[in-house]
Amino acid sequence: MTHLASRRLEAPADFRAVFDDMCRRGFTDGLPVIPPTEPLVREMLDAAAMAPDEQIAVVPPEGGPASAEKVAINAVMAGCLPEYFPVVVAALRAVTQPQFNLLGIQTTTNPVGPVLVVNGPVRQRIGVQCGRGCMGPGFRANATIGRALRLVLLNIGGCPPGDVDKAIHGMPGKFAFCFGELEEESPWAPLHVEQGCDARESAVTAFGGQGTQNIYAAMLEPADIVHILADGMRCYGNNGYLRACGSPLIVLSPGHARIFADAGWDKKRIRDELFERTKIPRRNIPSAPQLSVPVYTDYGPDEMCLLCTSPEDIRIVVAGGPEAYHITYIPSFGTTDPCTAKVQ
Amino acid sequence: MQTIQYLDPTSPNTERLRYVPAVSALTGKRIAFLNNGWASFTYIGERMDTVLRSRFGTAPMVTYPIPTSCAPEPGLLDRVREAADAAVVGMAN
Repeated sequence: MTHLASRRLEAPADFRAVFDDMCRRGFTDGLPVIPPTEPLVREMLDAAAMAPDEQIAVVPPEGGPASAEKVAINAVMAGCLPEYFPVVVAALRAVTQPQFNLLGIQTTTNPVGPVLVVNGPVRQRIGVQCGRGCMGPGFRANATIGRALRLVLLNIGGCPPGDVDKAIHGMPGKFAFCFGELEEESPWAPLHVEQGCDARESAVTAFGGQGTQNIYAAMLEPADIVHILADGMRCYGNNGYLRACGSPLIVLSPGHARIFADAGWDKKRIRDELFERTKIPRRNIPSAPQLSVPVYTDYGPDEMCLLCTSPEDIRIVVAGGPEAYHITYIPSFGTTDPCTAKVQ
Repeated sequence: MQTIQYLDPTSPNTERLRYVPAVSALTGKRIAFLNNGWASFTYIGERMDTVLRSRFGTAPMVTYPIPTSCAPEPGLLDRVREAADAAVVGMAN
């Protein structure tokens, strides 16, 4: 049996006492955790057939080395079942790709946190919710995979709120934000295929998302839906406009997706329309100097400020309940690209 | 009292702890300013340069532009370490 190298800590064998102990040490996100005992950690590692000392990533901002053992400890704490562990590993590999800019996301005053979208057969295998309520409570895989990543970022990345994580308010999605794409109800190619995977593979794509904005678009014509959606996205207080970059994420219900597809709209047409309709003329934004010097600072009054660099940066997935009522818009942090890692 | 044993979830980067020697005095020292472009930080940098030179006799501060919200380009911190004795790296706001 391979040796687990982590320091052993002891606490009274009482649920609340263990939680109190781990809270005092700064190991938790404020919620109760499962004590990561050696048998539970070994079970987690065995599910992914990973050696404890296999290095998965280096986690900013402190550059903590994330061995399989350390990630498994945090996955146990989060409440993950062992079969979730390969998805946790993929999520960590996704967010530690340089283009994701985890250093910036971990330390900014912005409320941004990783948003994980799961694709492929693993969703059904482990019960990742893709349909109704997929971003809310009640689904163990969604909740604990997202939470495991957050605990890794806290405990291995070295990012306690306040000291290093300078988010002014934070946002609830920083506890956990993980859902599956409802590929079976989408008329288009799934996200991981757009990111270069085979449809039969499973993958996690991470976005740097500032939170969710609900857009009620209970209309039946595509042009009307994009009109309302774009109006909700056209918020120059969102980071995308500061740098004209990032990947805004649109989560359409299957109902909305069918309206678009039945009218002959593909994702490209939706993106093109949204990109055009989300442009804001410089004169609409207050001209007083800003602290962070946005890219549009010296634009002429009629020059257009952009939500992102190009239409292709707008990502669209299908998830949630079937009704064509609500769309979820997840604004981008800006200086971050969506990154995908396959589930091994 | 019965106890439960659990594993430490943290993984500190002990290799990162390579300290830059503290400067014992500022006279004649080379000071780097890593400016992320925030207007307030630019102002603070200009004030610090004035105070450091007039009160402590440092060399003129050298500014290195860095991105607003992501890591500096690879190699920049090594160049700063070679070119400066101390650096102003952030506003901690």
